[in-house]
Amino acid sequence: MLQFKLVLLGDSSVGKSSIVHRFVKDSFDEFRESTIGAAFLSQTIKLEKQDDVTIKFEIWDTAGQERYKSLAPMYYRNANAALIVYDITQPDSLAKAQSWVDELKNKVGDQDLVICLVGNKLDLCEEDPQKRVVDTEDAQRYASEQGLLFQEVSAKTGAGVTDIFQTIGEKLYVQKKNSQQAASQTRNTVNVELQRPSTNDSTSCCS
Amino acid sequence: MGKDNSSRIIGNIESISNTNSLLCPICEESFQDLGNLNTHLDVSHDLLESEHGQKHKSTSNQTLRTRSSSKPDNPRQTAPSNRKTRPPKAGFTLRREHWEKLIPHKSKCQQCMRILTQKTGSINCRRCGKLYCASHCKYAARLNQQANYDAIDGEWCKCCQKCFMNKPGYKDFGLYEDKTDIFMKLRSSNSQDHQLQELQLESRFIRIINGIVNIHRRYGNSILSTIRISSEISRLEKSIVPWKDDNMAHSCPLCSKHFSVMLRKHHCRLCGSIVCDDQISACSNEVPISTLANAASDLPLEDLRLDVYPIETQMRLCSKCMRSMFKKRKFLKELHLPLPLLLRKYESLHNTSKVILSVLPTFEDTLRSVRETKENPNEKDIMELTKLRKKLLEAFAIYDRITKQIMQLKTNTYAEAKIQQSINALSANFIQEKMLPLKSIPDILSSNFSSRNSSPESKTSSELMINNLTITEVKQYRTQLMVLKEQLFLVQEMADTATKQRKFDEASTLNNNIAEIQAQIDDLTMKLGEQGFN
Repeated sequence: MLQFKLVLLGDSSVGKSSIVHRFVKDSFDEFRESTIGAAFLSQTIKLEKQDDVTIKFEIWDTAGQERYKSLAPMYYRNANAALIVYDITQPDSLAKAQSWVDELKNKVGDQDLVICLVGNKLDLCEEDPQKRVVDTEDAQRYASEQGLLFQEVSAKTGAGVTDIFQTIGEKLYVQKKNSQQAASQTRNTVNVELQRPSTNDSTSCCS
Repeated sequence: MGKDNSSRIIGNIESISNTNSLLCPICEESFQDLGNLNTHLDVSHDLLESEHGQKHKSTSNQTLRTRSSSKPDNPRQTAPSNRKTRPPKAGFTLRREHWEKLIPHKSKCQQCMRILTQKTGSINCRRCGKLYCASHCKYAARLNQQANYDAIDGEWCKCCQKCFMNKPGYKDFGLYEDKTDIFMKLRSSNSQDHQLQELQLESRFIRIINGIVNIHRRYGNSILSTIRISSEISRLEKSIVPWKDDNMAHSCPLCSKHFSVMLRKHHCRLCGSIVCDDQISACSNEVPISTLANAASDLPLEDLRLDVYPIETQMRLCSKCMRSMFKKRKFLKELHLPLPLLLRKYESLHNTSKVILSVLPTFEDTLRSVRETKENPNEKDIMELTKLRKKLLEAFAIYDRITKQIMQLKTNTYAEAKIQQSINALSANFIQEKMLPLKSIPDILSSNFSSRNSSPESKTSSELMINNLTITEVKQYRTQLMVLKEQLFLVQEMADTATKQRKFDEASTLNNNIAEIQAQIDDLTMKLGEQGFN
């Protein structure tokens, strides 16, 4: 089983924790308290396109409030993926997301870091299209310019949430496979799979 | 006499409470007893909350019915409530357009500013429409359908405290009744009695003393002067003050001890009552009249010095008369005496503390305003702050100096030593407590100072601290340290629960994180050095 460290970043109250909880527990709390520090959750998924592959996400859900900004570097350091969340009804939150993207690009040397830009609260705009402030096209354009994955989701309805993690998982898996292949090719050694098959998925006991 | 007084007071109070009936604090209708008022409050001013006027009306009527049926033999009780209730209004619909919409995670209670969640609950004030949590929208006001106040035809609707207090005719303290006059009357009559008693004692005292002086003058030169004088004096005393009958007294009225062969009866020469002369309880004492005359020098007494030597006659006074005659005089006399050095020093210490206390609030206000406008502080404010700070520091220096002076004084008695110690403790406390805001100033002043003067000299002088950190850096590191410590605690808890739930790989990840946080904390504490938390 492959393990990946994933970190959530973004302005306060854009719905980072809600997205994580939708993904991990498939639940939604209308009145969630704001996060203190950083919360840790983990979830194992099976990649849909490669059926035999399970990957485990170790998710660090950081607090968006300015006070906890100093904690973020500790969690995005050595991360394999970053989810940068903004609120599609709040224009400021996209600017904040962009500043996070810049910080990640500057501070993290790892070229393999998968960054995904996520616009949350899609359900609000489905109710009332006028509430949308950030256009999908604009965000999409910015994401492709920076080489980010992009998805609009709703933590409330769950739309698009699992898709993000599937795409991230796939991308990470492909990266890993490529690097392993490259390593085995250059060294020309026998590739011994040291990792045992997962006993930690939802079907086995003691999970 | 005291007994008479107290019984009169009780009688007065009874008459007061009898004449005043109870008033309803809301509509000021009067009631005969608490039961009636209670029923009236329940029925007419029913404060039970309800979402809809219709529903509320029916419950209110139900309570009325049950009450009147439970006590049908008391017509007085139901009479006011019947008058107050109206037939339930059909189709009462309150205007809702002005209600503030609930935005999840955003809406806050207007009073406590908490974000409204399911746990806190959320209610619109029916009157102003603003959102409140369940515990801050517990008031009720009568509103009409346009959500305006209508005390007569309106329905009881939930509202916030603000709207409740803004309601016309609202009284903050409920029913208020001024009984000062009655109390003053009782008190003044009581103190007038005391004054009369005192006057009587004084006039007796004057007559006795002057009489004694005259007797001395008249018989001082005769052969049997001592015998003659004492008999004349005792006659004089009895003629001025009616002495109580010896047979009536069995025990001393002051100490309640029984008279016996060992405990003799004595008459107080001023009030005439029979008291003992026990040395321990000091119910009565023989005092030289010269001493007494000295103590009451304001009274029109004749000159006690006969020829050259003073009259040495003594006079027996009970402790009660002594107190009422001389206590106040002694107090007034001591007021004019110069204070001992210790107390004088303390007085100046106290004055200094007064100065500090009067300056401190202004100082704190200025400080707060400077803090709020941290980015571009007002020049004038900063000047003011510096001035106030200087003044305070001077005052503190004086305070400290006086304390030291007090501590150097030699004490003669145990009481003085005790006072000295107390003053020392007090001043240490005072300085510690009041100096606190001053301590936090220098960084504000200096950081403002340094941000304005970018010249390198000022930077080196004011911005650098002991271990080469700027003040802003120290602040920043401190908050970081705080956040890290919080996070350490959180992650430790998460690791514990993960271990308990046998999620060992999660626990190991979390433990790694703990180590990381700990390393960062150590790093920061190192950097802060003495500036860190202890």
